[in-house]
Amino acid sequence: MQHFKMITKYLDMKTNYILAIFAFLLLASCQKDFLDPDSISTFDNNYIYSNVDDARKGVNAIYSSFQQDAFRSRLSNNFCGNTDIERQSGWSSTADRYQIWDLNALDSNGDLNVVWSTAYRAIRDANIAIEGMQASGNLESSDPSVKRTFNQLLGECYVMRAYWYSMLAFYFGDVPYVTQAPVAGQNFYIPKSNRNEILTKEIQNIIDVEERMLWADQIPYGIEQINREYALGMIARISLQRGGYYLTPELNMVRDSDYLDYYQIAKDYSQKLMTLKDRALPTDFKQIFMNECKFIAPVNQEILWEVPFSKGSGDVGWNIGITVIGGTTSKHDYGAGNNYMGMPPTYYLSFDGKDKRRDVTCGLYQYNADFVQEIIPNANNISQGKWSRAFLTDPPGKQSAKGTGINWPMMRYADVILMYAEAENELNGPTIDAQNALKRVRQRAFDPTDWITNVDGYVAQVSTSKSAFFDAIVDERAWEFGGEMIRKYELIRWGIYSEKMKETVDGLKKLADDAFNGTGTGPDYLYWKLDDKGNFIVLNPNTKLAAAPDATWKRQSFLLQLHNNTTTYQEWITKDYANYYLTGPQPGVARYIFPIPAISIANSQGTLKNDGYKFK
Amino acid sequence: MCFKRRIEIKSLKQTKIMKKIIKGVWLSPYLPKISLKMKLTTLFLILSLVRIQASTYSQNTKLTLNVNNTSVEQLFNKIESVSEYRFLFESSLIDLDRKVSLNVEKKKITEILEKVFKGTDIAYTINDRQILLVKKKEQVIPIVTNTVVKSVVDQDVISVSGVVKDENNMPMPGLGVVVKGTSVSTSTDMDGNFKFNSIASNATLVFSYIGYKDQVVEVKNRSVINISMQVDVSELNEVIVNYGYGKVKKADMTGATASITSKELSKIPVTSAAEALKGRLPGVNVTSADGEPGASIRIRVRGGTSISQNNDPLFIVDGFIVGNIDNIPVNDIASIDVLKDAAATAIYGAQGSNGVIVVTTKTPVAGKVTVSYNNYFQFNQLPKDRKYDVLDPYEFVLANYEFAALQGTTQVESFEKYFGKYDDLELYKQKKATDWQDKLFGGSRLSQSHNLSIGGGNEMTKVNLSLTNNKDEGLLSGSGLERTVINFKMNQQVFKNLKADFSARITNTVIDGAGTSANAQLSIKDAVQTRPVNGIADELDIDPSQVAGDNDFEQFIQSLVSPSELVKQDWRKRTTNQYVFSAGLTWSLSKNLDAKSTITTSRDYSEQLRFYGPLTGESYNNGGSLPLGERTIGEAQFYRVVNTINYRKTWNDFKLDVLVGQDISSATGKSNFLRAEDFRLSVTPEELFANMQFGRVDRIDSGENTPFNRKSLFGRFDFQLFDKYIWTLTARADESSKFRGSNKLGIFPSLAFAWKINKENFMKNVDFVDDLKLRISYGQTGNDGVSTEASQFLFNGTTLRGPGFGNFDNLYYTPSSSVLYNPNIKWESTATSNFGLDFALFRSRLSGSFDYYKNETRDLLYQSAIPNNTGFDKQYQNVGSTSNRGFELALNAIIVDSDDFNFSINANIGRNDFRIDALDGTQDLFAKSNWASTDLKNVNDFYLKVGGKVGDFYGFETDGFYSTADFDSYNATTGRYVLKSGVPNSGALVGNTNIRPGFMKIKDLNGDGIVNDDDRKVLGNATPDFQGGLGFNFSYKGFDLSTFFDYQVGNEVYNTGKIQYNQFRRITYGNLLTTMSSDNRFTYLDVDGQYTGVAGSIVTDLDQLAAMNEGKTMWSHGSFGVAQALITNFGIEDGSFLRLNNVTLGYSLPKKLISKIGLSQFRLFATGRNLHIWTKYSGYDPDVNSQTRDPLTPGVDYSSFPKNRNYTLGLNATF
Repeated sequence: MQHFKMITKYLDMKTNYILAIFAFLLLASCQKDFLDPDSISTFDNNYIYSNVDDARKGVNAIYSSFQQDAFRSRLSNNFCGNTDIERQSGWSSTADRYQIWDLNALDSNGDLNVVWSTAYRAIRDANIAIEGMQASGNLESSDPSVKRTFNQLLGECYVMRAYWYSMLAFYFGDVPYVTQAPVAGQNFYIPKSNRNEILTKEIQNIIDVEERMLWADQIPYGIEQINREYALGMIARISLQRGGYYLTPELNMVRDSDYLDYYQIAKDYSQKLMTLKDRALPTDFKQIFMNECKFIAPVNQEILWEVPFSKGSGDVGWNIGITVIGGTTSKHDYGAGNNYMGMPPTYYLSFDGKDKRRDVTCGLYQYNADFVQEIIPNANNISQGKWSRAFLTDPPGKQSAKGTGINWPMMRYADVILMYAEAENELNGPTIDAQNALKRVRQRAFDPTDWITNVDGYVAQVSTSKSAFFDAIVDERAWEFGGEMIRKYELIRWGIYSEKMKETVDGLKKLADDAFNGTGTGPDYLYWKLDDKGNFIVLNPNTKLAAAPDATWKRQSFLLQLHNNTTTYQEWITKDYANYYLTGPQPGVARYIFPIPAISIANSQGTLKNDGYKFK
Repeated sequence: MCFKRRIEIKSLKQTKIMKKIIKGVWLSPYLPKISLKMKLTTLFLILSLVRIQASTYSQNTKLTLNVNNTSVEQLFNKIESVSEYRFLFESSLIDLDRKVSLNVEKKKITEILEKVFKGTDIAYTINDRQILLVKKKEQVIPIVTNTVVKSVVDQDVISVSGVVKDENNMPMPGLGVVVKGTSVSTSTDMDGNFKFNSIASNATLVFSYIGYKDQVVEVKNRSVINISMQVDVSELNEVIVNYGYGKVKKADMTGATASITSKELSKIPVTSAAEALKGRLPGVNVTSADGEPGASIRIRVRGGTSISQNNDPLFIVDGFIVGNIDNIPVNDIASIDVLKDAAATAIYGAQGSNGVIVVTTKTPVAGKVTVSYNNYFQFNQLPKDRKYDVLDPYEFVLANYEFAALQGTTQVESFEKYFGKYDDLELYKQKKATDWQDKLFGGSRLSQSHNLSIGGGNEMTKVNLSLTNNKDEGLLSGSGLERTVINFKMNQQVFKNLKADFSARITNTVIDGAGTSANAQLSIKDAVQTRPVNGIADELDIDPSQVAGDNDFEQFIQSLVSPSELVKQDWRKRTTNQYVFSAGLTWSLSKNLDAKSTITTSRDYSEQLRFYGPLTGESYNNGGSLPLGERTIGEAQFYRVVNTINYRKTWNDFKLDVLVGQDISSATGKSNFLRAEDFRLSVTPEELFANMQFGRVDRIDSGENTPFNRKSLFGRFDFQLFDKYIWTLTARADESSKFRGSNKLGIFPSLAFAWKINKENFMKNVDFVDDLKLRISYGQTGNDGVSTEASQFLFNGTTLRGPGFGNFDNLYYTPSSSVLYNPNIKWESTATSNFGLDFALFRSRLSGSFDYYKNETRDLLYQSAIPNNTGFDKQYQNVGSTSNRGFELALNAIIVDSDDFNFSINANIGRNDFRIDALDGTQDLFAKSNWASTDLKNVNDFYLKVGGKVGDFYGFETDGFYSTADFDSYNATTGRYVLKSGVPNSGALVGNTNIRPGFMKIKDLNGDGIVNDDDRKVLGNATPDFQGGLGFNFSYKGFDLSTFFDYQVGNEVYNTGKIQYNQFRRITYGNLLTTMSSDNRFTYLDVDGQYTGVAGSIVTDLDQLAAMNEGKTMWSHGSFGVAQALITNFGIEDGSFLRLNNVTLGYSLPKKLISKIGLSQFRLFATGRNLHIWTKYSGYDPDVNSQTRDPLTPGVDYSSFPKNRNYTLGLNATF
């Protein structure tokens, strides 16, 4: 008993202490949020869309996909060849980008995978932002400035989402249509939707929001930010895609019977922009792109929206643009850059000799290690002359390569005008309105002294029929947008992809034969020199010349390069485009659709298949 | 005042045993008894004079003394000066001034003392070196305060006393005597005397002492009972297991455990404790990602249970949960206990599902100050016999020429530009090859380790301080690891019932080098496949940056970068400073009841510096080809509070041990990232990070982690009956902040039973069995190993690739995880059943344990692949279930045990099958190692099937190569060969549709005439049939020799190197293995023009090709597309191996010799590690697992850093 008492006494005394300690610790641990901790470095969607500043940062996420390699190198450039105006050899290697150029990409192709997943990441970010804004109530805020900004941001989301679906439709055909932010419990196994149904909805979304968006001159980042001009232009552009031809899994090029409805929309909305926010086309064609190289982004001019690359980002001037030979031993600080996509001589020679756009668009020269201009060595590698790292104001450094910071144009006003002309022609034939639109674009390309022939005369000549006017639009867009890498999408929607590629090969072969046989009129040799200011000039840009008038001119073989003594034509002429019209799974059809990446097929658990299109 | 007060501390035997159980809870009852006898200050004084040694000081030591009329005190001094004997006594008891004369020659101490104290009232006892003097007729005072007299009225009451002696007839103080069936007890005094004043005349007394067999004696009315205790052999070898909030004798353990002690660890000279465990313990699988210094070491207890991210066991160091045990110096470790089944781990609830590894660092021991110093120097090298053999320069150019010629004239022209015309290639026979493997990691590297520890103190305050420094040079130039650890431990007896423990561990780790895996810019491919000669570039001085106008500029530049230059520019330095502090109070509320409270905190400060020179891909792609630097500063914080109450009570027939407790922990951290670019070309990494302002700030990121908090309550109930049957019931409730709502709570119970069969009567006559215990357990544990934000949709701000409004990277919000959140996820739970048998036979000459187990994990927390049209690739889900089953056997045999020669063998073997029991509704699933990303045909290279084993490699079967007989004809116009009808074309699989004879041929397994993805099968499995270790230990006098082998049998390794290095995947002008020499492979090259008339042209005629390639064994390297890899049985190899892991030879100088210079131990040793490996595997090392992040893709060897072979010299010295 005594023993027991002692223990009890001990306990009495000490349990109190112990209980006190336990009580304290329990209290300490039972702080309200102990089991629901959060970090001040994380934010939820409610917070992000609760105010204007954070909402801006939320929508910025969608823009970040344009900074990924998937867009910088792939979608804005490598994916867009080959066309009649841009080319690269896809047959010389089986590496990823070559498979794309060769229209022979396997489902294991890493470039396809990165584009697919980046597209859906951008779509995800857009969906998250759209839902966040819709739930926030700020779209109907009583504060007009909050309401205005939120609606503008909502418009940015819809426009960017539509862009990515437009791209997915061009590259993969029918794809899963995701319009909700991912939520647990949701069915993620979404089958393919008809590409035109997707586009129809995406067009309607922009139409619904467009009037609540702001013009470039009303927003902080001007043409670097998605704005109402671009939204209107995108309605027109995607409508033309929707109303255009597309490749079926059975390898036929078809267009839906309601296509004219979409030409109407394209006409209405290009016209709406031309009515509400018309602007004169800047007369200096070169300056439009020079602005980008000089980091100047003027509003209410030519460019409606350009992808804003920061310094250290972007591949323009690296694999797009005039070649600059750089490196540690070079005598300049501009670094190195060249072009993946070259322009075939057929395109170069298609320009009218007086067309000011030719020498801006076609880079016949490069900068050597001494930063002196010289002629390009290969006739098949005329560069996208609209941009160059050599135009940068601050040289980025001897060793520099990627990341020039040069912005990339996503739509120009001239495009809207030409879309109007095209839609009007399709609906009503070459009306005066259509002709005037075409004239506006051509007027900039020529000196006013040449307008009579090259603008008025030319337009009158092509306005004799709807099809003649259509052909003129096809040509005009080539001359106007060369190197801007949108040609592929147009050739697809016009349903003339394969045909144009055959035409290009035939054209190149003829140039080669004529040059070899001496029967051509083109420049078998180019004669060039640097003028007093050190600028590259060519004596005979599009004509044959037997000899130079004086010794200051240097001679460079040009069209003669197209011929090969053993194979008649250079390998690239016969092989680059072969899969587009001749040796593809369906001769006469360019199988421009690529397989859905293997990983996406695998993870879809049978929902997605690479059926049709004669994929291996 | 107290001129010389001395007091005895322990007897010889006790000293030995005390040391053994010093960390045991059983110690505490004895300590206060001693302190009662003296004042604190006295104790301090005395202890500083007293030496306590573990070794025996023979009582046969003979002394020669010749003193005349000296004082007793002087005599004592004299004896102390000529011997190691020390006198202990209360000075008030002894007349120190008494004069004595003594003349003895070579007499034992007992005889001397007999003479000195003859006729006095002084008695003496000798315990090792201590001589205790007491008054003969001193009253025995029961020391234990709670000795009470039980009043038993109806029985005769008598007084009983006696002396308890040990087997050497020495008195045993502090021994417990209990009157059976009552709570009456006492313990013996300094002389081994005990006395009960009034107990029943028919009572039964139980004498017990740790390390001795209990003696049960009936009083039978005797008043004097003298007892001789017998050593319990099995208990002397007793292992104390640290099993979660407490310790237990292994004999009383109901759960499955495995342990390793400092004695064995000291023989393995490695930097990391984790590495030391390799092959040592059954059921514990240790693999390192590769041989890189500081490479993550993966420990799996019974295979790991989860297919979610984290299968690491729980690591506990001195009661504190840590992320890994890499930072614990091996020299500081007293023991490592691995708890394997639920019975042992359930107390840890959530964290215990993958086993628990409990590390106990050395505890300070009271006594004289000991200083020990250990070091080793280690020479590391790449095992020459494990290198890859590559083609010589001539074969190399020939292979590349042929490859180019097969593709077309453009490629040949390009080849000629770099290597010259075909006709000149003969010159390469004269060229000397650069051996990149040698250049990159062929040198001999030095590692060293130094450990100094100082320990000591007294019974009240014990302190241990150790300082360890390791410096490892990695095989790859510029890589290395340096770690410095300060470990401090202190135990303080604050009051009689209150004990305080404090420990601090400060670690500084510096790891140099970016390695060859993860985001390193260099891979093993660079060492194997980089061209051995640069062709014309060797003669010319080509500036890679000068060459432009080439579409494949990028590839070309890279192809000219020398790997040894690249490795210098791919620079990384990781520094971590870790501070761990732990403080605990133990309050003995009564003899039976302890309360304990521990607080542990840790802070990790880390800095990672990453430099990319202009040659690296990062600089080239994202840094304007200028040097750039990234600095990440991180801080991790952790705290944990554990409160436990432990009630223990022993009755005669049963023992109860109840533990209840509460555990609260919280982990968080923050990080700061800075990236600056555009530094001048000549900047060195050190300069860059010292002056980051010289560059342009590209990105800043900072963030605070979402804290990970957990609250738990737990209890354990141990009940032991008749010392035969033991039950352990455990339950734990965990609440985790990683889950939402009611999913936070997980409850994990377990029940275990053990039966000590040898204690049964029927076993009494079975002499050869010392110990036999059966264990059965069932229990549940849980896992919440997902990220802290897995159940919430949250966003972080970042500027990485943000929109460039205004020409700089703008901020944007992005989901905080690349894995999609899931608010509905809940605890993953594992139910484990274990059946075990522990045994010790033939006086413990043979001991061991056997376990069979099965665990089933349900609601697996898995990052399920979801369609990436969600914008995510994966989502956390509770999916399916898996199970592990297997057995483990550990044996230890002492073959020879004599004074001079000892020989023992230890062996362990284990088997574990990791199976898939259910998947998310589907019957099978694919997993991917991703080593070649989407280059790998079909990406999926692992197959999981319900009911199947994890680790099935899935792919195609080769059928050698297409022979010329497979073809009808060759069409010269199209340049294509026409296959005979019925011969399936596997060109699409190898990424080359233009099929030729000599191309790799894939079997049409389903016989449908088409070779495609449907023709895949399981090619092998990564799980070994069994694995384990085998060690032999010899000692002869001062020499000790131990050898250790580890082995693995029956598994396959997925050797991606064998695939990669035999083709030109994503490499321009690369080299190949000698398997691809022109003697082995199918060739098309008309070397001397005998077939086509033109030397160097490609033969296309089928008959000619057949003639050229007679007897060839390998397909052509031209089979494959440059961006295509294919998993076939060719890349799957037998991974069985037997490794001579360790041979150590040590020599300890004789104690006699070294004691003169104050040393108690001095051992020199030499060790060879990874000395040889017997295996058929062709890669660097079959013990490999590169893709550690996904448990579903084991056994992949991708760009693994080779393991080194090393030779160590070292010493251990104790002062």
